[in-house]
Amino acid sequence: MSEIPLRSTGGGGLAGPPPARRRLDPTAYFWLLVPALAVTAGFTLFPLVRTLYLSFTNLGISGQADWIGADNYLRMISDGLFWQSVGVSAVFLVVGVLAELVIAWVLALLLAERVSRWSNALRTLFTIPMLLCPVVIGITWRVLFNPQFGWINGILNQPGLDWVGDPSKSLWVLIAVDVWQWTPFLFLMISSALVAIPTEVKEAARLDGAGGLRIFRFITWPLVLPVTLVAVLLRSIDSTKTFELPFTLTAGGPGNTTTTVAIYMYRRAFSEFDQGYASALAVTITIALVVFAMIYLRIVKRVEGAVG
Amino acid sequence: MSRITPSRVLMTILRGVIVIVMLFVTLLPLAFMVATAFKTNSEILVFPPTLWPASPTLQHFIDIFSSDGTWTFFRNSLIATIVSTLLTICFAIPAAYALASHRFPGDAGRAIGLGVLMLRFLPPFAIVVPLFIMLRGFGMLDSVGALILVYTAFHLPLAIWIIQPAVAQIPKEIGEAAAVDGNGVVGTLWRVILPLLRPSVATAAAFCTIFSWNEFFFALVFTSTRARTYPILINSYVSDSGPDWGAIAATSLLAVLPIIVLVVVLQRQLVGGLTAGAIR
Repeated sequence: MSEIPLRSTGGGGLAGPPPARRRLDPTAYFWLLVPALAVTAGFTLFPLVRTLYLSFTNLGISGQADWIGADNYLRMISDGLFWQSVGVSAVFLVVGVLAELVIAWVLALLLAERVSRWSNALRTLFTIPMLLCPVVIGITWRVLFNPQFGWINGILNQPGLDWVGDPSKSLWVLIAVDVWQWTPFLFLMISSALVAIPTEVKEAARLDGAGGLRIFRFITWPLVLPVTLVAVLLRSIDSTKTFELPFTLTAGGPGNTTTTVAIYMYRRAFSEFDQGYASALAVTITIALVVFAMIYLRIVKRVEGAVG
Repeated sequence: MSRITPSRVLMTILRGVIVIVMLFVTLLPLAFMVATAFKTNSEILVFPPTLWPASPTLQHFIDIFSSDGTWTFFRNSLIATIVSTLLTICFAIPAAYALASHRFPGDAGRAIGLGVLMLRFLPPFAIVVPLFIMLRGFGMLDSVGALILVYTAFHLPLAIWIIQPAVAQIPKEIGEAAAVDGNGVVGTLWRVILPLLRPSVATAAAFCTIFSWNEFFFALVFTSTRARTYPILINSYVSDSGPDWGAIAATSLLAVLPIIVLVVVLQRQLVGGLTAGAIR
């Protein structure tokens, strides 16, 4: 819209100048932005900056915040619980997203065409897990994994088998439920990319004598890889933010076996009201996420260049 | 190409089996909710569990609604969801329109657009402590108003992000023609552009509705008694003495039904939004 320079209004010929001038009035556009900017600035940007400030204070239950420099960050280095939560989040992220990716790829390759053919009903069904309330998902699975009367033990015919309460299993249960909830997301993204490959391209390759593997290597893979890489980034960010699922499914336990960074931060801030330290945790995780995303996107660019 | 060979038959069977397994796994929790919500208490606690209630009962629904707490929880959720979605959309449409159709000086529009994109990925825990302090300062802790404010602010970038490309797709000539007809910026937006944005606004509204309805973290931190929402209620049914199965299933079913209706009605937009726009 702004391509038409303001000066040309007089020389336009047929179109009358007044409407054009009114349309180009930049203040009107500015005022359209103001409400959204005000709400965002007030309730997300300002708190974000404030978190950064609070991370250098000893804000506690008294509400008194004194500047203590980088103490919170130094404390983090020797905080075993923090590193444990980083480990839990890392395993949750890497194993969960990898499992989702592999399952989604296999399913998409096997079913892409079918799913698009029966599309609506199936696609709708697969959308449901990721749009349900995470609390409902967490609590329902917790009950499904109940040792005495849960359906999982009913299906396995293993009465009394403990899942959520067993420290060696709890994180795997958490990952399994995450895989249940989010594999459909990757599946839908990958299969829609697969369906988007024109059949003529594959036919032409086949007529040129290319086998299934070569078609996959030189046509399918390069076309679906970018979508996959973006989907993995989105899942990674989301996985790091996960709070509801571990909170409701395992309550971070037993012990700290499923205490993710988000759960740990919450506990510090609102169980122990150690809010200065919790702010430092939040800042660290957020910066780690940003750095991760930037490195990831750089690698993606290089990979896409290499694949063609 | 379509000869029937043993390997083809095998693949078809394999695909069928996979689809059935996927459906089974996807629907397991929903089947559990439906079955358990209508079972009697004694039947819930049977091993191995039964799939279908032997003597279906509405007792759990009667029980959860005979405590008036349940109404309050659902009413709070409903108010927070509807009001915050309306506000989000009211703020998002003009912002998306301005960002997509006007070049701000110094390319500020691009910078704002980039900021919006980044904010979409902001972890809630990155802003929760200052928000808590702010809301306490306003005397708004434990009020539905606090949830409305926070949900509106938090979902605004997402809504702008969904609507903006739709504005950009509208041919410039349409806006110019409207201006020639004597419409100002606001008139053009209201009378000409807005009707063309209906699908993307519906998508944005659907996502805001779903995410606000499902939201737990902020509700957990900012509310304590009066303003609690239904996810908190469901969470409270898991106590030290074990879960209250019937109440969990019945409440979950009621909470999940509106979402499923929405997903079925708007499935094209939602699936499109989730895959193409990569919402989450």
